[in-house]
Amino acid sequence: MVAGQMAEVMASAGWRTTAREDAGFAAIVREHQSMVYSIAWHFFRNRALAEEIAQDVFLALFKNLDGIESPGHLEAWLRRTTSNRCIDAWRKKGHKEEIPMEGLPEPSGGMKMGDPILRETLRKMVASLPEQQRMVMVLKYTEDMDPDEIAGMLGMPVRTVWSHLRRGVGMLREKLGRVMES
Amino acid sequence: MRTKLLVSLLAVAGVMVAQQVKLPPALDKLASKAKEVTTVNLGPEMMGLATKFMDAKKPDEAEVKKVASKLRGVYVRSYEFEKVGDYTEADFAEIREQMKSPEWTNIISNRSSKELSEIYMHKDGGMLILSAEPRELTVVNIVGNITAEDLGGLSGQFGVPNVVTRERPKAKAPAKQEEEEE
Amino acid sequence: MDRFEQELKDALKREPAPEWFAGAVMARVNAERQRKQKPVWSGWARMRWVAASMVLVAVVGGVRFEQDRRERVRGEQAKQELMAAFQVMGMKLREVEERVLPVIHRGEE
Repeated sequence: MVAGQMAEVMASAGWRTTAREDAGFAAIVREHQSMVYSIAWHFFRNRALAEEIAQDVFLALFKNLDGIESPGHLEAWLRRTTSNRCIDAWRKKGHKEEIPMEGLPEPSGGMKMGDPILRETLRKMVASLPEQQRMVMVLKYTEDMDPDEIAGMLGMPVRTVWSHLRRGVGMLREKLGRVMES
Repeated sequence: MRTKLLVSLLAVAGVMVAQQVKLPPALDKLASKAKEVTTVNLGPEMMGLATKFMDAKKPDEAEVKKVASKLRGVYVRSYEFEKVGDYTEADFAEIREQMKSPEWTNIISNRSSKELSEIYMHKDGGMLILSAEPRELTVVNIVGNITAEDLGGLSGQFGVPNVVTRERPKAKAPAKQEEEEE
Repeated sequence: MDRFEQELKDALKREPAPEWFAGAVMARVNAERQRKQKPVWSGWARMRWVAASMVLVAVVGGVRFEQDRRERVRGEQAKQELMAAFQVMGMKLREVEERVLPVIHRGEE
């Protein structure tokens, strides 16, 4: 339903005019809020911060509607803006101690694949990676983007993206293995 | 209060209109025959402007300013002709007709076979001078609350004699008709 | 993608934003709309207003100066006409006096 409204907004000839109206822009927000919010949430593991950044991104979109050319461009713009704002906010906050991570305490063994506790553990482990590597992981596994797209979006060489992915996955695998063994 | 003020203003305006003599079109047509023409048309607005630009500190302007500030209009028609017969009494008969109104008093009238001099005073202070000579015709109409003393103030600069002062009317009376011996 | 990566993908799957999220965004968007409608007194906008005000003051001043000049010219002209009128009046009254005085004197005798 929401996607239908959004498609209508974007298909209309004067879609920017429609998008500037309450109903039109609300449809855009509802269509993309899950994507924007999830990137920020998996990056920070802090709901308040994720909500704040997601709201800021949509407000920035409202101010920049003139620069949006197509539905595809709109989605890419939201992803790139969210990613950059997350990294900037992280760097501005300095230490991760300032951003409390939410969720269960680290488990101590007895887990198997598909276990909700194991998934929570994985999320926390991702959220503890260095910021650039973390964002690469989020874009790859949350947004299902390929390394080329991620490289273009974050403005880094494709090799670096590959490197972040290999090392990140290797590190998580190793850490999780240790936890499961213990 | 406002009604009283309005009635007073209208009454003053009415008095001023009554003092202003209607100069007949025939008089203005004489300008084309005259070799010298003096025409002055100073209504209330122009009188205000004239007094505004008179300097009360200059001796030659102070007295004029004082008198002029009491006036609401000055109208002059003075024609000097090449030859006798360029105008007739009919040209100013309409003016004399207006002077028959009970509001006007003829204080001086001097007539000979060749010349006519008349001075009329309005009961509210206006004045009309009519001077007809074989080759010269002059009509001066002063509108405003001018007194004999005021005219006396102009004696130095403009040589105004005390003829009016001497003949100030007390009530409507038959004009002095003096026939001069030729 | 092996089983671990699939597990990672499941762990990091999209999550729905809070129910009130869109409403909160729209509230901020509406606040932004209202803010935009207010006059902006910064940068070029301020410069434009200052420049426009200066031009307006200059135009009004110029018009006022011209009006004053014209009024002065009309006033001087009216003054000259009034002086001329008094000259004519004085002259005519003197002439009347010259004609009337002998008659009056005769009457007094």
